[in-house]
Parts: sequence; C-alpha cells; structure tokens
Amino acid sequence: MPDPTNPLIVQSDFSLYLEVFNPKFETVRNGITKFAELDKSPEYVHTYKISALSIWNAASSGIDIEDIVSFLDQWSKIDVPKNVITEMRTIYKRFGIVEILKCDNDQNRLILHIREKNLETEVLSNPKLKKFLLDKISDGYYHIDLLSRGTLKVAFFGYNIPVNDIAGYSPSEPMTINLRQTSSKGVPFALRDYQNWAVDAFYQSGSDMGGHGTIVLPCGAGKTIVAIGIMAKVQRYTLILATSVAAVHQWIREILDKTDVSPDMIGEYTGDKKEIKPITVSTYQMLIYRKNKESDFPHFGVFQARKWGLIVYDEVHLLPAPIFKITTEIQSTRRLGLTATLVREDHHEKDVFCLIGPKKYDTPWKVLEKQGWISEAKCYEIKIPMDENDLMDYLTSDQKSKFNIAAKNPLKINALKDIMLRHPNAMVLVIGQFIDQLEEVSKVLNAPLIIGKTPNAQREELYKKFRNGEIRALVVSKVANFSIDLPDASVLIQLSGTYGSRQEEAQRLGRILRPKENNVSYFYTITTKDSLEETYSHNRQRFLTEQGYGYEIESWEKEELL
Amino acid sequence: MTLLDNLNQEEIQHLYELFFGPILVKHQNFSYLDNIITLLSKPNSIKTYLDKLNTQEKRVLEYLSRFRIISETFLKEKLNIILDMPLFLIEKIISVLIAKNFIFRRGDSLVIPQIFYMIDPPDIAEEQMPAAEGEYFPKAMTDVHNMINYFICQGFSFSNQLFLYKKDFQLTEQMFDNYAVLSGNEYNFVSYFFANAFLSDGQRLNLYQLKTFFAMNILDRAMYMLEIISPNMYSIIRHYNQTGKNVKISRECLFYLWEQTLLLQEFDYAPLRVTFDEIIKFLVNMEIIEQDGDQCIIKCWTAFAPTRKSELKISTNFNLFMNASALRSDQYVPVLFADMKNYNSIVECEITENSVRRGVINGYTYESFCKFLKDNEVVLPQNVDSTISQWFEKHGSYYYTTGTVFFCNTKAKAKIIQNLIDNGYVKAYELKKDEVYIIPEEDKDDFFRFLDKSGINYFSKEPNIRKAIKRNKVLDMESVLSGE
Repeated sequence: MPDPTNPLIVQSDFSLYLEVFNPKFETVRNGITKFAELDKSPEYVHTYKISALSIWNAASSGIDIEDIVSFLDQWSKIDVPKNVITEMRTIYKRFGIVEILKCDNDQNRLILHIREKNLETEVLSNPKLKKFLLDKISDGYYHIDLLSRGTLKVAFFGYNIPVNDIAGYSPSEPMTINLRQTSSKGVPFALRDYQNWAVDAFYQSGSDMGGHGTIVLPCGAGKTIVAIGIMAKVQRYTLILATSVAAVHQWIREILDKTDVSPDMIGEYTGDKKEIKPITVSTYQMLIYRKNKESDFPHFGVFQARKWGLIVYDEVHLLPAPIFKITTEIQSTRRLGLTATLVREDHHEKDVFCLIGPKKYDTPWKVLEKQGWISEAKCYEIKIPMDENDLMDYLTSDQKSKFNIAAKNPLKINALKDIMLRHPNAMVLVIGQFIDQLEEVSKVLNAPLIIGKTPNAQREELYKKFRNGEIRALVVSKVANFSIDLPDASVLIQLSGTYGSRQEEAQRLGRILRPKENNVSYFYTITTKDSLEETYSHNRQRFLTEQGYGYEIESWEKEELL
Repeated sequence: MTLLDNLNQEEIQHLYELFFGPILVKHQNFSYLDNIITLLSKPNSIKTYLDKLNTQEKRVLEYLSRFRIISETFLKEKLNIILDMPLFLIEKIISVLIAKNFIFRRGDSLVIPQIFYMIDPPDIAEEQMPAAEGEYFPKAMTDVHNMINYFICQGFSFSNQLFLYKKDFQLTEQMFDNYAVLSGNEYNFVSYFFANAFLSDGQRLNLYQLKTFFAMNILDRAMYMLEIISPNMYSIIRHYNQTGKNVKISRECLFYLWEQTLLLQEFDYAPLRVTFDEIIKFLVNMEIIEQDGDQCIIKCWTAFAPTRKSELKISTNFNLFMNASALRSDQYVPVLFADMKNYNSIVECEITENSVRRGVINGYTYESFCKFLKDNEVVLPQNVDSTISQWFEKHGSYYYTTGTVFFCNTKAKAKIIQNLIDNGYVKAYELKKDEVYIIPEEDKDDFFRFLDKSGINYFSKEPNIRKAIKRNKVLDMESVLSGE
C-alpha cells in the first residue's frame, strides 16, 4: 500500500523516482534494478525507467510480473498508476511467445517457435521477418539458419517482438580456472559483494538464460575482476578483446595474478605476437585490420580458431562496426560486455543490447564511492581567461578554429603549473587532445610524453616507471583514455578533449578512481572562459553530473596565474 | 413596445419595399408602417417571404431575430461557433439579408424587425442545492499550471485563432498525454488563454501578468481563465455562484443561456471557437460543473486549497524537480530559466544555457534567480551555481531596446510612474531603478495621453547633438586677384 514515508514514486510514463536520502533507499534500489534501468543518479533523486527491454530482461531472469507489481505497491509513496501495471502485464506477456530452440538433428540450423497464431501470421506477412524462416516444420515451428541467430533477434526486436534465445551455446573446449585466495603478491583476494552479484547476474547458474549480457561498473571498480570471476564460473576457453596492447598486457597480468592459470595457457594476439591459447587476449584494432576497404579481415579467423566458450568485449561502448557484424554470427558463444559508460556517441546502444546481450548489472558510481570501493573524486573546472593576443583571432574565426584556439590557450600551461603545486607529492596524469600542446607541456614539466606513435615497449616502460613511482607526472594523449591501469595516479589534469564527449570525460576520470590510501582523487579540467570550450565542457560533464558528481568551478584571473 | 418600434423611418420604408416593392407615387396619407401592419394581420403573410430564403439564410435570420438590435462586432465569429457554418458563408448571408431588406445595418449594429420569428425564451428552472464541499483543487488546474509553464519554456507562437500549430500540438500531446486529464482541443483552450493573458504583442511574455495570475488563489485562477476563454459562460457561472449555493439547471436551459450570452457578449478580441459540448466537458474537468443526466449542477465553491511552499530540488546535473500539483505563487518561475522535460507527478526540468538565455530575454535576472532560490531554501550545487551565473552574465551583458526614454528626477516621481505601470494604466519598462523608463514605440501615444489626462507634467528634452556648422567655402582672394 502507498506510504508517504516510502522512497519511490512511480509515474504514468514508466519513470521511477527514488529518493536517495530515505532510510529504505538501499532495499528499494536493490530490488528495482531487477526490472528497471538506471537512467540518472544525481545526488537527491535517482531516475529509473521501466522499458519493454527491462521487463523482458526480468522475465528472462525468471522474475514473475506479480512480484514486480507488488514490489512497486509496497515501496511506493503514492498510488502506482493503473496504466503502468496494465501495460507492464501486457509487455511481460509478449516475452516467450517467440523462442529460438536447439535443432537436434541439424547442427547448422535452429528452430524458431512462435507460440501465438496471430503473431505467426504477423511474422509471415512481414517480408523483413519472414525472410529468416527457412522451412516450416509444423504449426508455429520453423527452421532458421544458425548464422542468422543474431540478425533475427535484432530484426524481431525492431518490431517489438522479444526473442527468448534458449538454444544454448555450441559445445566449447573446457579448461580449469580457479580464483586464488591470495594474489601472487600475497594480498588476500576475494570478489567483492557487488562483483559477486554481477557474476551471478551474468552467469544465472549456468542456465541458457544467462551467458550473454553487459556489466556496467565504474572505472576502477574491477570490471576485469568480474570477468575473471565469470571465467572461473564458465570454465571454458575464452577470447578477450581489449582496446589497446597496453590493455592486453594488463588483462594477462590480472589473470595471472588472480587465478591459478599458468602463463603458457594465456596467449597474446597482437601486432607483436600471434598466439592462440586457451585464453587469448587481442585488440579490436588487430581484428578489424585489413589492407583496404575491399579486402577481407585476415584476423577474423581468431573467432573460429578455437571453440571459444566465452568472448569478453572490454569497453563495449567502443565496439567497432565490423565486430558487431561478426558478433551477429557468433551468437552460439557466451558473450560478456564490460563498460563504465553505456553511452555510445554513435547511438548504437541497442545493438549492444541485442548482440552482446542486455545489461545484466549496473550500479551507481556514487554508491561504490560511498562504500569505499572506488576513490572519492573531487572534480574541478578551472576557467582561465583567453590570452589577449588570441582574442581577436578567436572572435573572427570559424567554429572549429575557435575551439582550437580556446583549447590551446597558452595560459593553460600556467594554470597547469599552479595545479601541480597544489599536489606536490601526488602522481599526476596530464591529458590532452593536441599533440603540439602536449609536447610543450612535456617540455615545461620535464615529464615523459605518451602519444599514439610512442612504441608499445616504450609505453609499457613508462607506465611501469609511473606505477613504481619513478616518474611523478606523465603527459598523455587520448591513447590513455581507456583501460590503462595506473592505480596510484591521484590527480588528472585535462587540458583539452574531444569536443563534448561525455564518455571520454567519464573514462578519463576513471583513470584515477582506483581506491588508494587516503582514497581521494582530483580531476581538473582547464577551460578557456567565455569560449566555445565552455559549452563543450558543460556537455562533457553531463554523464558524471548525472552520476552525482559535482564539479567545483573556479574562475582564475590572468594576474593570479603563475 | 411594438414589433417594429426598433426601426427608424428609413428602415421601415426598406422593409415595406421587401413586401411591396418600391413605391413611385405616394398618396398624401400614405404610411409605410400602416401598410406593413395590415400585411402582418393576414395569416401566413410572412411565410411567403421567408420561403424566398434558403435554409441557411433562415437559420441565421432565426438566431438574429432573438434580438431587436445586435452589435456586428465579431458577430459572424459568434454565429460560426453556434451554427458551425463557415465564416465566409455567414458573412455572405448577412449581406444577402441586408440587401433583401430582411435586416438593416445601423452603424456597427444590425437591426432586426421582430416579425419573422417569434421566439419564446424557455422557462429557466433552477434548483438551489448546498454549496460544494471540500477545497477546490481539480487535477485539471494542475494540468493548466504546468501547460502554462510548458508554453513559457517552449516559446511557441500561435495560430490566428491562438491555437497550437499542428507540430506544437503534437509536442504538447507527447508531454501531457500521459498524466493530464485535459485532452485534445482543451490544449487549445489553454493556448488561447495563455496567449491572451500572458503575451504582449502576441509574442513577448508579460512577466507582470504572469505574476498577477499566479498570485491569485486557485479558484480565482480558474475563474480568470474561464473569463478569458469563455466570457459569456463566465457570466453565467458567476451569476449562479452569487447565490452562494450549487444550482441545478437543465442542460437545455444552460445551452439556451450560453447561446444567448454568447451573442450578446462584447469581445475585444476574437472569441475562442468552442462549442457548448466542449465548454461543458472542460468545465466538468475543471470541477466547476457536474453533470447529472440531462441536468447540470453549477458548483459553488466556498473553500479552495491554499497556496503553499513545496519542495524544489536542483541536482548537479542541472535537473530541477518539483511537485506537479504544487500550488505556489511562484509556480511559473522555474520555467523562466529552465526547460520542462517531463510532466508527471513529478515535473522534471533542465537548466540549459538556452533556457537561461530565454529567461534573460524575458527580463528575468540573476538577482531574481538568487532570490527565488533563497525564498525556496534551495541549495544550489556549486557547479550549477557558477555555471548559471556565468550564463546570465554571458547572455545579459549586451542588449538593445527601441522606444522613448522617460526620465524621472526623483524616486517619489518614479514611484508614481511605476504604480501606473503595475496597475496596467500605461505600458513602459524600467531601465534604471526609480529613474529611467523606456516606452515602446507603439505605446508612446497612449502613455503621454494618459499623463496629459492625469495632469502629470513633462517635457521633451532632445539630446544635445554636436553638429558641425555648415559653412560656405571661403574664397582664396589671392588667386582671385591674381586672375588664376
């Protein structure tokens, strides 16, 4: 029954507001994530959305619709709108009407089962859906091609028909992976609670309902560990796709550190090495490499090189289009997507849901920060004036040049030095978009520079020195946006970025979120006041502000700068 | 009062010509009126003439015959609402009736001989009942408040009838369909109200009018809205509300009263095209009328929900949350600087650079923004605070205006002008507190006419323009004398 002391408001447009400062918040949040998607999580009110997809996800996890209805009733402040309940029941019913089943007598085919006559007629009358049906077995049963499994699901979803894929996975090669009790450095190791929940949400006790989906966790919250936990559950040959060679090495380091897998079982498939082992780690760039636009992808063979039991897509929000394409053809393999920000600037989130799998676990960044699992981040935007010499140029330039002039404002280097003085003993990352700007900064700070053309070996060496504390500051280009694990970095100074990219901002913050001794990190962005850069900066901050991060904005005058 | 005493001599002559044609030679004792009266005494005499009119002409004449004389201002719009006939057709029919001498134009009125249709008004039976119980606060008013807010932040322009254009209608429907009790054409009623009540020159938001409206109690807001969208229905409701009781009246009688009052109503601007059924449905939604079979109960509310403070929250992501059913006197203020994103039990707005710019253009200042936050005890996240103050500064740093600048030498004198502005007697905008006002060009004449009438003295002081004196060229005498 509605109770004004409850924290939940259910609205007729299927949005849910959850009050954060309510004693019942934790209980309700844990329940709500099973059937609603987290939309925004700023400081006072978290917004969730019930969508067809979230209801079908709940249905696929075996949650009963009546349990959802009574949950909403129990925790709602006001009456739950009747239309929401009616509509949820209708949507829920659609799940399971169409299923993909195993075809026992033909390994290259699957069976599509349409339970309702009307829907069968609808499918048959729609050429875009009918084309997937090879031949009719009996009423409601059709053969489909094994390779069209992914595209069929995407196409049916486009017509609001969820396909319950319970054909299971192709036989794959087994291997033994056990998690260590203590890491190789002798530190006690066990999955954290939320990591265990994420593993269980994905694995679903090994049933065909599980085994595909995306885990969304903040940077530094241990997504790699979640993946390793899943690998230990699945116990199958695993292919891991990462964003860079440095990330590949990190994956290998982590697996060796946290499991009993021996080094000879792990292979690196990159430009330097071409190893295919029971656990193989490669990069997206490697797999999508080809001589020209017309030629084949020579490294796609990796997908068929072994009978993989699990494919891990690291930073799934960056998945390139050719990988999407091949993923449609490997739907018989378990697929795990990992990301901190399921925000794709190209709006392909839906493809991630259909082809990799639905979001299986998500938790607000601030919740993990509160629990101490990620570092507390203090975000600052430092606004500095435009250099007088540049002002006239700026005013008379086109938009692109305006952005360049503002982003490369020479006074940023003065501000940067000033910030460095605030943190005399901290490990600092300086990140930027423009190479010439970064080269100058590197000279001024006398700090090494890592950019795209820096050889991998040299990068590794510099990262290693930074981790060991031999180098206090590193100047990096966007190559360090993702997957670089520099646990002790506690200050990041952002000089410039890719226009208004929310995802880049969040990923960059992620570089300094690993928990540390005093557990506080500082994220600075230097922008030019009264310029286009401010507008971009405001947009960049949107994802993090929706996660509840409050930026402190300081305006520095020229006279105040060093 | 006889049937034809509303006609002057000339009109009586024309009426005679309708029946008998023009007269060439007139007998000494000839009387147009006597001849018409003789004709009228014969049974079915008028019918022959009426049969010369087509059905639509007869319908219009029948309605007009309810009145001895009726103003022609917006008459065709009124008949268009009642008869559902196109405006051009009504206009044509009136011209035909005048040309054929069935009715007569006198100034901006029509004079109608009371001989064609004898209409007996129905007996208006009313039954008084106890006044409405509880506090007045219908859900429809929540919709209206939020729709006003939505129109403010969308900055829609409206059609000639002050309705929403199709695309804007669809946007409004998307925003309100989920949660509003108002629907369909009722969105247009709100747009008509909004445009008439709060827009100056059809476009500029009038913050003073907005403030005045939201300062009213909820019942007054509802009645004010009704007065604007259907002034004749407002007269009816107000009349019965004065009894202090609910009044039961048949739907048929109410319909007659609605038609009658609509035709008699004087409008300053085109009436809203709203049918009787539509206005009744709207009033039922507004809980001003209750339907009981073929009876209508006009409700008399003696209590209403009071305006009160309700919680407002602004998050780090520039989102603002407020209770949709809040009843506040500053209810419109958040949308002066924020865009409405979602309408449901909680209204979600987002503060963006563009929304702040809109606020600045509408005359909303950073100081007012800070005051609003203080009054509502809203703690602004630091990033939101500094970004918004910068947006206000960015968009408010330069501005221009056109018009006549009016200076007051003392604060006391300025206060008089300010009072005149606040009370709607003159239109001007304060440029510098208690000192300088600007009068828009189109309001200049009215402004000074009012000052003249009120005995407020003023003078025109032209700026000193430094102009070079025109000089003719001085001859170079040397060259003249040397003959060069």
